[in-house]
Amino acid sequence: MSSYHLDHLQHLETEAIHIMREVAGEFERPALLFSGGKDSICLLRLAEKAFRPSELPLPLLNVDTGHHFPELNEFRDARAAQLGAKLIVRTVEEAIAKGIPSRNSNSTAASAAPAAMKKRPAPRSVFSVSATVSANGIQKISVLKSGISITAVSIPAKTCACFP
Amino acid sequence: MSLSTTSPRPVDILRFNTCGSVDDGKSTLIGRLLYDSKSLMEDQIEALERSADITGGGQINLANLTDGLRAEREQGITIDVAYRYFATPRRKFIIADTPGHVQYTRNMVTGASSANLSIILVDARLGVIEQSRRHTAIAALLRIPHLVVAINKMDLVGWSEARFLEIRAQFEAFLPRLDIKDVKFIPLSALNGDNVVEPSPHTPWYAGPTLLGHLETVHIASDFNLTGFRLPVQWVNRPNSPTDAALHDFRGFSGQIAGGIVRTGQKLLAFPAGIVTTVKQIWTYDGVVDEAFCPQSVTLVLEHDIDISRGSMLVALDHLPGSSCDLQAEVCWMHTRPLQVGKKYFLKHTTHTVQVVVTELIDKLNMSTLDSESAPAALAVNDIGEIKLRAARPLVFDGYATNRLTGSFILIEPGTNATVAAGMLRAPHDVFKPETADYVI
Repeated sequence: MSSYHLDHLQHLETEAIHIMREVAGEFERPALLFSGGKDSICLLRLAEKAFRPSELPLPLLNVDTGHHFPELNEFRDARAAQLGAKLIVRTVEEAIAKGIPSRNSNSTAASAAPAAMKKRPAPRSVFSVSATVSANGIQKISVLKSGISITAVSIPAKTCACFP
Repeated sequence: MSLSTTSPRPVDILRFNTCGSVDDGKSTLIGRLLYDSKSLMEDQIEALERSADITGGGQINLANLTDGLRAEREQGITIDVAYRYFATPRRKFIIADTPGHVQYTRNMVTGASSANLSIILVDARLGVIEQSRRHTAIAALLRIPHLVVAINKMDLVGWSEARFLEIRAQFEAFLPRLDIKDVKFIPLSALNGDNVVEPSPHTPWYAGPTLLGHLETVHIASDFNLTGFRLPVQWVNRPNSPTDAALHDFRGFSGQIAGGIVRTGQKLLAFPAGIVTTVKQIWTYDGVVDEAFCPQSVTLVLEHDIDISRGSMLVALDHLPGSSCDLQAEVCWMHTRPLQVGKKYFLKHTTHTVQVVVTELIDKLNMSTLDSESAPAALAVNDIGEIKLRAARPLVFDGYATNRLTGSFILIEPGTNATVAAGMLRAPHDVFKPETADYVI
């Protein structure tokens, strides 16, 4: 086989970079969701791969449910500062105070709130590339792309589980 | 450092889509592939078994696995295509799952646009129906390199070889009219798993591979285009305050290579400026490389300071593209408002968007007969036809048959921003002829 060959992760990475650059090129107010978790860390590295040596052309956005470990939030802030990235943190309480209704009033604050947050601000400004990381490196990168156009939706982590 | 293969045993990806009418067993087949290839999470299997005890009388309903599309629709989330993933030791697979109804033909076009292979599902009791012809015609139109005709529900026709051959003959009657190179016919039962992952004891007359066996071994290495370098510029990479002071004057052009190979020192023609320049550096996050190839995402630094921005295209001098305002293309119409002569749209081609007007409807494909009807009055939703367009500015393009990336486009309706068509360009009449005196290879 010739050397002009990408393995599956290189292939997915090159597509993920393509999508991030399309978002930066086409959208008015893009943002990259960044919680500090493993999936977010993977996405942030992909963003670096897409835009370096420039600054990231999109801010990092985190919706703080109030249920995160404090260490996670510390890491989130430190990593953003380390990369010189702009970080926007908003809380669930703000959404509730503004009266954005949740889809299911019986569910707990933690699960209802993200649904409420997704309802309003997400579609126009946020796109999602999801990823799963294990101890030995990136295992799964799932890019939401329709082939011809780019589909900007965010779907629950379980439905985008990819390569075992 | 090289960007080429680093893992000891390269594992590649096969992308495929499944097309079938309602109740052809599409969801069951995908469920069977996921289940038998052991790609399910423990909790998914538990949920399946629970629902089997409650409703299925102990029988697992594999179709429940792929009910994502329905669930997403009910939630009011617009999703055209659901991507599902599974893997075997030989390959990783991405399934583009689209709904089966006629009104979702456009979704199939979306899902299939990047596929290596298409599975056309046929109910053995019904044989070839209009949807089968439609799906096959679309696969041919999109130049999907490989086609599998999965003749499903063979258990319901008594595993009859005669029935299998009859349906194959129905296909072979119209296949020569379409440009498809590789077609495989497989008799199977998705419900019982025959010939999906394991060979069936019911088909001693069938000597071919199982469906998964075929998906694992079909040759896809040559599916990417390595002749004729093309880089549609996505984003100009110009740091305001680079971390490395040496990069203060860095000015790179970022994009995903849409065809061919590029090397440091190579001469390139920059569109729309029409000026020749040289590759100074191929920059990636993992280091500078000497060459890069389709479909890698890279950032090129050039010798000359040329006006290049998003929508520009860098191309090799030895394989020049077409550059014209007059375009001819096959389109799949995707909107309920029909396509008519004189209408204006935005045409998005690679990273470039330009205004166009439809100047002529040449023909329309009749899905029942696969004949073309010339000079139709309009193209309605899900129609496929050939049209002529005139663009406000020249488009730099290749024929879709040469390059699927630089030969495809979408039409966008002004005002609503709806995607109204997917298009495949005909090869340009003439390649670009540079006028500048410094054009010397």
